[in-house]
Amino acid sequence: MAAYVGQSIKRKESFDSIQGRNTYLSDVHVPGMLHAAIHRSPYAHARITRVDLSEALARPGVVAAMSGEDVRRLARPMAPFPFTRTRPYTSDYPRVRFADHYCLAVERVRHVGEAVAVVVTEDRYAAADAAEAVRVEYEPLPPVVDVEAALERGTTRLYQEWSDNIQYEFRFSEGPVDELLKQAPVVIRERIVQHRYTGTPMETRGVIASVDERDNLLTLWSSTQVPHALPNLVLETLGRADLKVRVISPTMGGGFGIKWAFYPEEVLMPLLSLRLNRPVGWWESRSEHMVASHHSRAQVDYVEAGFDRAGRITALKTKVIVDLGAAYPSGGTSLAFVTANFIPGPYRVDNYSTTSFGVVTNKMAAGPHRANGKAESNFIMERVMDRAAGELGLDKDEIRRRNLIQPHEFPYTCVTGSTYDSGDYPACLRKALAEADYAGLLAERDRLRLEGRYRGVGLAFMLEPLSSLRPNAYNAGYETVTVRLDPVGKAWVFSGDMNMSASHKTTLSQVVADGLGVRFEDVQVFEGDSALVSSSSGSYASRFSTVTVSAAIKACEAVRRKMLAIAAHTLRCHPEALECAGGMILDRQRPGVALTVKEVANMAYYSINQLPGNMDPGLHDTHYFINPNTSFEPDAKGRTSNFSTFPYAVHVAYVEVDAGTGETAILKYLTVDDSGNMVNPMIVDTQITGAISHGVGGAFLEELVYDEQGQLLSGTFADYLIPSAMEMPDLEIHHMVTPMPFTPGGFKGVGEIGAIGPPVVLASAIEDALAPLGVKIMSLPLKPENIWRAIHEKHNATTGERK
Amino acid sequence: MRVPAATPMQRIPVKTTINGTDYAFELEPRLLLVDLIRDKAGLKGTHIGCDTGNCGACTVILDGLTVKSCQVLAPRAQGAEIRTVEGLARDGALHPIQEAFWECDGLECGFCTPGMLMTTAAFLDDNPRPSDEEIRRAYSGNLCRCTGYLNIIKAVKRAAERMG
Repeated sequence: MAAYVGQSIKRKESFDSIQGRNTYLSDVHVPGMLHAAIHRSPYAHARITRVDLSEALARPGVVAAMSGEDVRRLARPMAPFPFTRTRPYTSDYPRVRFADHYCLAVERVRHVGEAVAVVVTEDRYAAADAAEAVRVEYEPLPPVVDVEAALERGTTRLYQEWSDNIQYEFRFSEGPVDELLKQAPVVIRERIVQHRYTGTPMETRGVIASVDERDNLLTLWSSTQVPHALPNLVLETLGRADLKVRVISPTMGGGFGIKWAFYPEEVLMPLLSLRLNRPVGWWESRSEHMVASHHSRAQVDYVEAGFDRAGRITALKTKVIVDLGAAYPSGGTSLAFVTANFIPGPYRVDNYSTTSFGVVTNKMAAGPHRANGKAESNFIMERVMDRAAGELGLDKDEIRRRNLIQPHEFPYTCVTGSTYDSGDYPACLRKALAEADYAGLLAERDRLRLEGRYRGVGLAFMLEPLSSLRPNAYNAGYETVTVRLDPVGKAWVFSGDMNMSASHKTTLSQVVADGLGVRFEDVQVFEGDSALVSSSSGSYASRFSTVTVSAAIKACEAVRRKMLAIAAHTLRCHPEALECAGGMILDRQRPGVALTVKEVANMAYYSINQLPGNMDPGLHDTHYFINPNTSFEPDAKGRTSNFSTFPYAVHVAYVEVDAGTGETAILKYLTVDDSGNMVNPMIVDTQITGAISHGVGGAFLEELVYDEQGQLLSGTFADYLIPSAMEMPDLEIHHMVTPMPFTPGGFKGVGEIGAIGPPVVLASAIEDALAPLGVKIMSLPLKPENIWRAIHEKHNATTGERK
Repeated sequence: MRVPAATPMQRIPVKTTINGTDYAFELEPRLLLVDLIRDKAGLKGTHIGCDTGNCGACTVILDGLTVKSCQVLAPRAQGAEIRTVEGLARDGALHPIQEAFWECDGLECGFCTPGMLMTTAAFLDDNPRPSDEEIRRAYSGNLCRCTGYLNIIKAVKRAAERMG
């Protein structure tokens, strides 16, 4: 019985947040803690010829300093992430290479901001002073900045032991793609450039390490999304079989994928703490964050799409070139895999071939960022659909309608092997067009166009694969939840997932309160500590609602079954006659016959002589919920199915472009989203709104700009602009609900889909607005200067003028 | 932005009042106000989200005006009255601004929230009946990466109604 699930209950987490009482990483106080500061490379690519720590060591209060050579003597290269060193796939593709990066650069630096040396002092300000006193001599090497140039034969290689700059390669082909492209009456051929931007949570990263010598216990506090993977990674890198590692991830001030990685500081602090036998901590400044926390999204794509006269896709061929930056264990290779696999999106594509490269360059490493690889794949396909609509003279909605997968086809195995679980795509499109008054917007656009105004309507259909797994990887693809009912009838929940900001405590409390029939207030949720449960893949790919909530539901079922068995034994009835809600267990047939959950719980622990049969004492269960609707084993075509569920959304945007400045005003923004059943609709809407703000930032403002020397030009919040309240449009949020058929609660997941939409739908709207000028929008970002340039390049090309 | 140290660093006495409590410190003159509040006074509710004064997570009220405490040197606190997020609730009762943010879901991770709340406290003093547009403008120096701001705008309006 659902008393709490489905309700918009105020978030438990907010009570501490609004009083400034949370403990974020930088609020953790460990007695006797020393402060570390890191000296970082000013060069994108250089040989380190000398590191001189003497001046730094001579500064007041400095306790220790280390260079890459010291690290090389004390530790191994950083362990790979997310793949373990075991060969991840049995087939030829994907191919993955690992690079030997130590937690401080050895011999070479490969990006601006790479950690080169570390100093440790009693005081944080003194640490920063001392880090500046580190003297390093560099011999600059040619930087590899352009990702396509990095692929060229004979170009500078980042890693001497590699034959080229390709870290990751994935190939897939199904059907006679080249032949069909030759025959197709309409072929769209485009080059698409997607720019580098990232999650920039308000809280930067931080790490504290402390060693308990007696117990050989290393405690590591890190603002990480993967507290359960880190002990393995740290131990493998330290090469210390004698140690135990516990990782605590305190309250997180936002993650968005940026904290799903293995970072150098996460082994550097343990190394220092072990050497000095004192706790050592570091927290990242924003300027460090911009050069040393991972980036995302940058790729160049080539696409060829064949359409028949009716506007149906006959074949699709893509080449994806992802700019991975340096090959640190940041999980960036998944960008190439996910993008290439899901470009076909919500459309029926039977003939598809793709080649996808993850290419290393002299930039900060790339890794996941909210809608990892999916923001990119949807952008590619939706630009193709708009272009094809134009070529075929079809409306944007019509060409999509003709290609969408139909509701009766679910579960639908897509061309690359994943199984789309459920949905009604045409209904979602219909609803969006109706709610937006799409026809009315088009009419208004046309009317104002006659007055010389550039209004445009954008339409985008997004499909988001989520809750993923990989063979031989730390994201193995299940989640672990322990539910315990204590002797006084309170529920304790221990989850391996890590809350980034998505209200896990509130939603799990709702689910467990319903699952056990207790009050919401009587549920206590714990997470973010590797000591709580044995294993977890951490927080990524909006997997919480799919696997974590499901694990909690299953654990509750086991506890509830036992609870009702005890109650039935005491009340002399069948367990099926009983129901449980609000902390009471009632006999449906016999009014007034009841026990409290507290009474039953007390019996389970203390009156074990009254338990039925050979029942063990206690009320608890640990459930491992494996990603449903996936397979590790390649099918007959060599395809794997790595994602559990596929929420989708339609976004509609109505804009006006100022052709004189290239600036875009959003006049209307609407989303219809199907994320399955909702635990807490209020939280769902806040997630969607927040995710859309990320997308708006990525579309208009945010860009990690590197110059030709590999210097980052947008290295602070003064240059890398994230949206403020001024830039955020008002939203209309609508929902459809198709329950997920393969999870017990019918939940899918909602954290990311909003972030996909804005770049896609705003490109569509701006291109529509500028249609009278014939401007094509195939690249991101949509900054005013870029739109202005596109208008003028088109104008100059048409009039034959030169700049 | 940290000022490089001229060694040896002199220390200067600073007396200040935070949330009605008097404090006396001997401080390096380069210490930032945010570090005085967090590390010397131990009030960890004020956060640091950037080092250029853009994000506003460190916003506090100093003698009635909002300041970004990462852009103010601690000696400036001499003789001043400072109000931080810890000073909003009174006698265990949440401030109407805190209630409104909670009810309207005007926060997720909570990292920017203390700065948002202090901006609200000062803003509603000056403008008790703000329009959406005025709110958007007033909060353009407080960045939030989770909520997308719309619930914050709702929360400010609800707080204004309650306090009106």
